[in-house]
Amino acid sequence: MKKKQKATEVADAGALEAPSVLKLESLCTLRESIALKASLLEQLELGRDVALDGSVVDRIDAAGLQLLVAFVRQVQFGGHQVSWLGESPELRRIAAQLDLVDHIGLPAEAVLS
Amino acid sequence: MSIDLAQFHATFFEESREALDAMEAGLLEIDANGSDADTINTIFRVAHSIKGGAGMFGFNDITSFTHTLETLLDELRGSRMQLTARISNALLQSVDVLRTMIGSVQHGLPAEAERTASLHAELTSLIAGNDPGSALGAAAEPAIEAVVLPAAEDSLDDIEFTGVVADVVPVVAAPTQWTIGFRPLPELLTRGNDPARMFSELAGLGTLEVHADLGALPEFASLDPEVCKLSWELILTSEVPREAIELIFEWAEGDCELSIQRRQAPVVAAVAVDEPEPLDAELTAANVAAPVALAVVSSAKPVAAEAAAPKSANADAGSIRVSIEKIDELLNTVGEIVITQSMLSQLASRLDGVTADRLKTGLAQLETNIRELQESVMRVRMLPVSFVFSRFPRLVRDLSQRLGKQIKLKMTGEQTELDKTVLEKIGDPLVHLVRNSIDHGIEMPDARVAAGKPAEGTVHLNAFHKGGCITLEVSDDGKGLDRNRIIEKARSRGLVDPGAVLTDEQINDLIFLPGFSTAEATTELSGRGVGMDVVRRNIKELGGSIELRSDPGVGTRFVINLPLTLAIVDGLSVAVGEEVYIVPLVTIVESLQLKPGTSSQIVDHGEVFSFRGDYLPVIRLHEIFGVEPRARDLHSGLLMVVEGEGRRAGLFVDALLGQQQVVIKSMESNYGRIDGVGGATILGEGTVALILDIPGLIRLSSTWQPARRIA
Repeated sequence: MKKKQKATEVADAGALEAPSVLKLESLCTLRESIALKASLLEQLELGRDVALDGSVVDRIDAAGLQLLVAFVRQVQFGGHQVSWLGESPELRRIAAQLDLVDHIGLPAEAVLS
Repeated sequence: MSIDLAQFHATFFEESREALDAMEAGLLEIDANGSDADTINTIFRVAHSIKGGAGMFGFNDITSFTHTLETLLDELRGSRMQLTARISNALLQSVDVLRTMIGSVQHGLPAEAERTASLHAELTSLIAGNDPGSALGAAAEPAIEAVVLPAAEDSLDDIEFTGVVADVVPVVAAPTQWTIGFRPLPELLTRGNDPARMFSELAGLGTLEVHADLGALPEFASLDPEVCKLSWELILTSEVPREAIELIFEWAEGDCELSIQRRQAPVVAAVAVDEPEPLDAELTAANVAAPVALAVVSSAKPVAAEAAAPKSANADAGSIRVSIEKIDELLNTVGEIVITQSMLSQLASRLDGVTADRLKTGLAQLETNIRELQESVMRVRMLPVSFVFSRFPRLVRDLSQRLGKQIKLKMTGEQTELDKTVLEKIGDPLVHLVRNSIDHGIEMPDARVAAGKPAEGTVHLNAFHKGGCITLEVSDDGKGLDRNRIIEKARSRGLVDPGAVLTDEQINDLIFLPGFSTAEATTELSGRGVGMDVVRRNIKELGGSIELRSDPGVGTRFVINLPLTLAIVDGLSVAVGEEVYIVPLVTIVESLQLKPGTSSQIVDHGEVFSFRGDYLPVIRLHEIFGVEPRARDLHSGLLMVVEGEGRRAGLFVDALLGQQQVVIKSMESNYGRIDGVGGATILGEGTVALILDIPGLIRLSSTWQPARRIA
């Protein structure tokens, strides 16, 4: 699949159990959804725990969050974990508005912003 | 059952244009008076409406653009960003781009892709905060006073809802709990609907609980990222009625399955009522009959005024939209009835006896009724002049900025009504006149101050009824026409004899000659010498006239007189030999019979007669039209003093027959344009009579030679 949006990936190749990190772009809306899915799919193919960094997400909508929900479920289905390294207020606000905070694995309290 | 949405395209285009007009007016209002929450909300709704309509019809480029535009407006109305000149300009340009996009889609024309993409990028950049002035710093005061509603509790209590919905929904007496089932259909997201935004507006109505249902979510790999597979159950505790909730989902109709159910009685009555009330009829997208009409918001109307009547899909009971063709068909039929009635009246006038009297009484009543019917249909075609004037605030703003001039636009008489066709055709000439006023009339601020005037110039548009006509005036308080330069230019082009002495009016008239311009340099706005002649021609084609008055250093005033309608005319029928002609009443000054010896023959100028101190030319209609008259001597016929474009003449006819209202049949569309003839009509006895174009006849008579006949 053609990748339109480049997500910053930092994977520690030396430690097998260390989560790969995916930093979400500032825009995660319908317009970017195909690229976002491609980035998430790459993470899935690694077959590891994933740490998401949503600290710079300025705009996200139902399309972006739906991808994250499906992604988190898929990771967990594969026996791995999703954690969050950071979250922006907008990410939490929209996730809360759609009742998806738990479904994307955001902690009850913001850990970082 | 699928609905053919194409049948609604025309309505969408038309209403979108009206919506954009409202948006532009709102933006200009902000530009002039500063931003306020109501206006921003109004503009947001306009963008939202267009986005929804475009999404529904699959106009994806428009949806995408308006989505970004809406996002920027949402930032503004949410007070997360403040309006700056850069944003204001971008928003106004968005109006232009959307007009072009709509035109492109409607007429299948190529879109201005580059301009659209450039502006789209600018909007995105602004949303990303790339305009430093728009950021709300700690010390900065928000430019927009947002309407902050009581926030919902729990996880939503950090959200400020500044929705338009809160402004427009009526409130019922006590809180009610509503259960809302919302299941998106595949097209929901791609048509520009965002559940998060809808829920945000819902939360603005009261306390909202949101429960997401992930049951239909497929595994990640097979998930189409543009199709929403999530659904929600929402519980809203609010005092608003069902309509307020429906309004929020208005643009998702057809793209979701929606159910709205009243769950229980108001909380205050909980002791007495345990059982839930009967469920209201379920509202689903499937049983909403037809795609909705755009909720067009007029900026002239206070938002509060809408509170009493929230717009729902098909509930605009105050008016219906009818195509102009249907009205014209109706008008034409009424015109035929007028002719038939006139024929019957003439026949009845030849009858005698009691029965004939009763017939005549009945026909007189019929005539009254038909005239009322005709006037009613004519009124349907009438629109306020503001229909045309509304484009000028933007024009004046943009041009004055570009030229570095300070110009105030004053508009009066905007509610004066005029026939829609006339209005549509007068728009371009008016634009040209206003541009000329701005470009040539109003001076630069320093020049104005040096001349003892205020730095800010004024362009005044005025409309009023006068007699059976409407008068439109475009005036400015600029430097006025430079008559010396005009005559110098005219002489250099051989338009005026070197020794000729012209009156001020004659000099003014020179600017209406084709190709005439005194501009030092051709600018983007004017100076190409094409325009004023076209302005005059267009106005003439509407049966109107244009006059110019100008005082050096004081200003210039263009006065346009137009008929109220192009469909009928009040006229006086006159006889020339066996022919009947119709002279429009508005052109008639007086009718008189000359005494022998009161006319004179002037070499190369034909006959003239004395009328109240002036010598007026005589136009012998029988010579112009080549008919055999009953009277050849001026004292044995009648002279009608007529006026057109500020010039008077005497029409020589055999006799006056009577006043009547006639239905104009276009000669141009059925035969061809004839100088001196404005159209034709069918008289009561079924014969055809020509309707005279008096200004054209006066012009024609000045160049007419007896050998040349036009009919």
